[in-house]
Amino acid sequence: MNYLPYLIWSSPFVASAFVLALHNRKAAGGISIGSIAIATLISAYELAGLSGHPVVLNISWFSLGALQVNLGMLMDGLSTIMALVVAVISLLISIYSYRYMEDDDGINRYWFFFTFFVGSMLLLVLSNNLLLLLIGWEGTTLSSYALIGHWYTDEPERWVGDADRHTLGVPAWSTPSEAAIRAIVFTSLADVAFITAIGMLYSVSGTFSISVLASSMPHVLTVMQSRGILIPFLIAFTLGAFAKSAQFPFHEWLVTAMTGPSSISALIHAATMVNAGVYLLLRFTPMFISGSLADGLSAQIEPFFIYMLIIGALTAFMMASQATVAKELKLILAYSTASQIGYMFMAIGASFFILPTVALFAAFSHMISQAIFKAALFLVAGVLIHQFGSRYIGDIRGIWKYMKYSSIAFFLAALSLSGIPPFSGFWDKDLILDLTSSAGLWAAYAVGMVVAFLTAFYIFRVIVMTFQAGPRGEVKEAKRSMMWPYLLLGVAALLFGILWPYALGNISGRIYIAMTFDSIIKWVPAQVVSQIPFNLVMSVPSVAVSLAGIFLAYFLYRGGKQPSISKGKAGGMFGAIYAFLYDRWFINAVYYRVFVNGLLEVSTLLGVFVEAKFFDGIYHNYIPNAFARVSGRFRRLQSGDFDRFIGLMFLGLLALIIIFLIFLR
Amino acid sequence: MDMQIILFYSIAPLVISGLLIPLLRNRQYIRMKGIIGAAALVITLGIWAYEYFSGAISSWLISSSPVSDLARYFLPDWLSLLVAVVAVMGGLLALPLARRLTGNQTVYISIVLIGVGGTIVLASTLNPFLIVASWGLVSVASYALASIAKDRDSLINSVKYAIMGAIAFQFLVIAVFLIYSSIGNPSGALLLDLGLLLLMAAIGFKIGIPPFHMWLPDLYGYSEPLSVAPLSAIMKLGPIALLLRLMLAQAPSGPEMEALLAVLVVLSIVAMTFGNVTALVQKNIQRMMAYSSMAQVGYMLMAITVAFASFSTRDYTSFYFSVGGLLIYLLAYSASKAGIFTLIKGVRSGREVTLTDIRGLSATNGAQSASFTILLLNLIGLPPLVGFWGKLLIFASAANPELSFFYIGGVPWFALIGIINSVISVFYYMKIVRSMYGDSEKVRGHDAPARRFEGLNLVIFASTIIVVVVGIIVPVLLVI
Repeated sequence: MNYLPYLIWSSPFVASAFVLALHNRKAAGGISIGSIAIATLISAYELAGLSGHPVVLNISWFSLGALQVNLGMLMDGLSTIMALVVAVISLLISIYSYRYMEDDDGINRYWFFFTFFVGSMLLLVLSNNLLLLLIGWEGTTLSSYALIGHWYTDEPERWVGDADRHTLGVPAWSTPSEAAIRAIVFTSLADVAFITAIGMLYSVSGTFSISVLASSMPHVLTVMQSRGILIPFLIAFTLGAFAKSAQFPFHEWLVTAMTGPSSISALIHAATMVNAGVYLLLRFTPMFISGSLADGLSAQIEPFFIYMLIIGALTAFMMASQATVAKELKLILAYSTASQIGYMFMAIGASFFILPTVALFAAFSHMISQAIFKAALFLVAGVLIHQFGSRYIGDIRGIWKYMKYSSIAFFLAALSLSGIPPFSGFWDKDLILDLTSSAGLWAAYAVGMVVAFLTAFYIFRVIVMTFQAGPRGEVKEAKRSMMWPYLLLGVAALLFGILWPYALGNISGRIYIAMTFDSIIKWVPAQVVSQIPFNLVMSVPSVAVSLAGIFLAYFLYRGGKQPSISKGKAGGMFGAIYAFLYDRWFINAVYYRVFVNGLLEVSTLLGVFVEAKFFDGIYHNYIPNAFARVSGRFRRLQSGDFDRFIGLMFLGLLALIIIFLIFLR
Repeated sequence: MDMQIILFYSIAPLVISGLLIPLLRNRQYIRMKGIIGAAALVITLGIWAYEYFSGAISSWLISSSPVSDLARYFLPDWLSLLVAVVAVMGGLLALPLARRLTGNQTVYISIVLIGVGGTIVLASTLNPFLIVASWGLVSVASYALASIAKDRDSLINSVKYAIMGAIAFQFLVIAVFLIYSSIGNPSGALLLDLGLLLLMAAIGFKIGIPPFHMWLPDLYGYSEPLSVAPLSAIMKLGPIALLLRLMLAQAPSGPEMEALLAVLVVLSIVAMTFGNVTALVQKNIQRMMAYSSMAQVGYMLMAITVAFASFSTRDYTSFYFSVGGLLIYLLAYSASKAGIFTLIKGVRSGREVTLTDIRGLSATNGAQSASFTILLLNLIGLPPLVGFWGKLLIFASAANPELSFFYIGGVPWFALIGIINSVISVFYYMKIVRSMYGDSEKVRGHDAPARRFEGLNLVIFASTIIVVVVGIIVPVLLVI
């Protein structure tokens, strides 16, 4: 049996143990980078050796009665490509971090959680077992929590949001330690539903194995439908994915997660962990669709996909709109991440209505593109914020003049994000829009177009503002070892885009795509894959709106201009809209007013009335008194009277005989 | 030479050194005597280890044919092996205590050795003569141990104990006579049942199950703690193993079996509940621990009951769970009680040691308080301490759905009673912890009561380490 793939996720875990055990500032980074390099090499090797069929590896882990849990790995195109993407991006970011975090006090903690995260993420991707997947899933949550709160001493320069600004009476800023707690609370809340759904899945199908579930999904869906909980089950099962991928109403945690180091924002909150939700859906949506087709449940399952479309479109639009007015560089990128993932959810939602394989491929492809260009953007942002000493784009000036290479990387990644041909972002976004229009989902198409416009606008707003000339300070180009990772990512965004149509058009591309999904969608005829609609005429409008967004940004912000609205000075309707967008649609404030303060109220009430009056009464008065009485009786038996002792022994023997006779039937 | 004989000789070092040590009359040599005793214990352990590795230990608890076992003196199997290991551990923990004893230290060492020897024989035989002889050996050792300190309480309680023990011994002799005379006797069913009931009564006395327990709260509660430590850690092992072995080997089948099962269940529940509930209101810690011993025996009886039930229905999963749980729990119990009574010796100044006496112990004796806490948590059964694994296995085996006897309407009531009892016990164990840690501020400044731990620390820390380390090893062994 081939044990090599297990090294992919276990080597970062081993490295994290070493980092913890050695506790050596100098060695920690090297060990971590080495372990991630091993993971990268092996996943590349495994991908190269993959044939059309998925590989399932099993080691028996433990069994408790009928519950048999295997340490299984599922290696098909989807998981292996995903693992390689995760490993490569983690490797580049770890190399970047080596210098970026060099002087940090918590460097051991940083590397421990960094490698722990990479191990968890790879475990999540490669496991063929829902329990194991869940362990990886929660491992990423934990390390995300720790790394968001990495600077837990909460210096004001690490905050997100403007200090002293209040929205509806709720503070509009977040400290790192608060942001960390928000992240873990938001995601864990949804994970409760996820875990419950896994339990339901197990109780119906009797297995945790994903490859086995693929074949028993029709049965599962039928049983759920017969109990009338099909849609609730699907929503519960995917709720964890929605939270992890920062979709409405869980998107708030990602925004404040920007209190972590920029390298972490790039790794966890742009390129890998937030994609875990998309990955989970890509893994299970084919099962849901094929399962529903097999048992004639199409009509019953349709609302679930509409719900996914709505959430995806809403998040994409909401976050893009907020990004147009945000002032903090990383905040803009965070909004952008959630917005782009909204596109992916739209694609997955659309997969029910048209060419499932193609739609899921579009989501998958967009996930990879997004990972590449967003990681590049965040890494450059980290350098900029460090060099200019400010997280506000208003303070960042003249980067084209002083930081040529960083500017090129940023520019390439921004073009990809805007969806300008021939960048990778163009192909998959266009494919998604194309699919929604072909399927007749016009509302989704319209939202997608608007978001495309907003996306181009907000990212070029950043470029126009930061590229223009400004005062020369202590600004200089980043160190080489930090620079080439993001330069490479920026070039990759371009190359990936240039190669995209070739990969799609020729035979090898077809195999590639088929490999990704053939393992589960057995019902899709193979030739469908080659029928990916590709209509250049159809892409004219989307490119046009992107260009429009870019020009609008240039027109509004060129030459150091700032429209009065973006200074927050405009009154009237524009001012109101501005405040609405800047304060994140008031969602955060409402959450705090309703849930946080509401819970505090309830907690106070419970504490005063239920706890103090009722439970304390029972626990501290009633039960102890009752026991004291019984206990006192028992003790009185123990008189020390010797005759009684011996008498009791014989009585006891008699009692045994009597009990025996009573039960002897 | 026959393997049987070699194993039988394994107790020879214990008995010989136990008998010879008192001949060295000089009190000066007490340390050397202790080392000789420890060496004898280690040699015994070595012989058992040798036998184990040479494959002489059978994995089965009893052999298939009870009658043919009569001819065999020794039944070396997992039960006797592990009881021997626990008994030797108890012996090694008890020997260092001799130096703190006010009384005949030489005799203390000799008695511990003889008690361990008797326990090993009692746990590994089905021969009626050997049962009676080794029972006598363990009993006499116990009485002598109880009376070794010459204070008033120890003397009175040991006399009571000895007289009641004499009656219990009669029970045992009659029981053995009845059980073995029923073998091969076509109309022997009644004899057998009566014999087994008498056996339960005799063993109930020895391990302190109500209503045969009357000696226990006084003896454990007021006598010299250094006598109580080996009494509770070693002397209960043999009878418990004997009960398990004899019940499995000779038990009848059918309705009589179920009735016997009911008797065992009643004994178990009574022991647990009576022990725990009475312990709740005790102010004297030593007496609290006496009642706690009673409750702990209840859990062991639960294991024996489940083993008995599952053995008769040939449900081997539950059987191995319960027997494994019992053996692990015996170790947890012995280590904890040895350590706890030693700790009580350290804080006891008068006739009683109350909760107020240990107030603020953590401030003056941090390490000892931590040990005390760990040993108590072990008795509660908190992971990762070894007591947890024992309780887990016992409760899990009692909750096995295959054993319909322990289920009423889908509820595993027997396991549930055990769990509820465990919860009740938390209250009084935690009282001690709270007293040691919680009230430390109030004591500072006042003159703290005399606490003398010299000569005791070795045993206290060793038992704590055993409880922690074995607790970490056990799950590893279970998985393998």
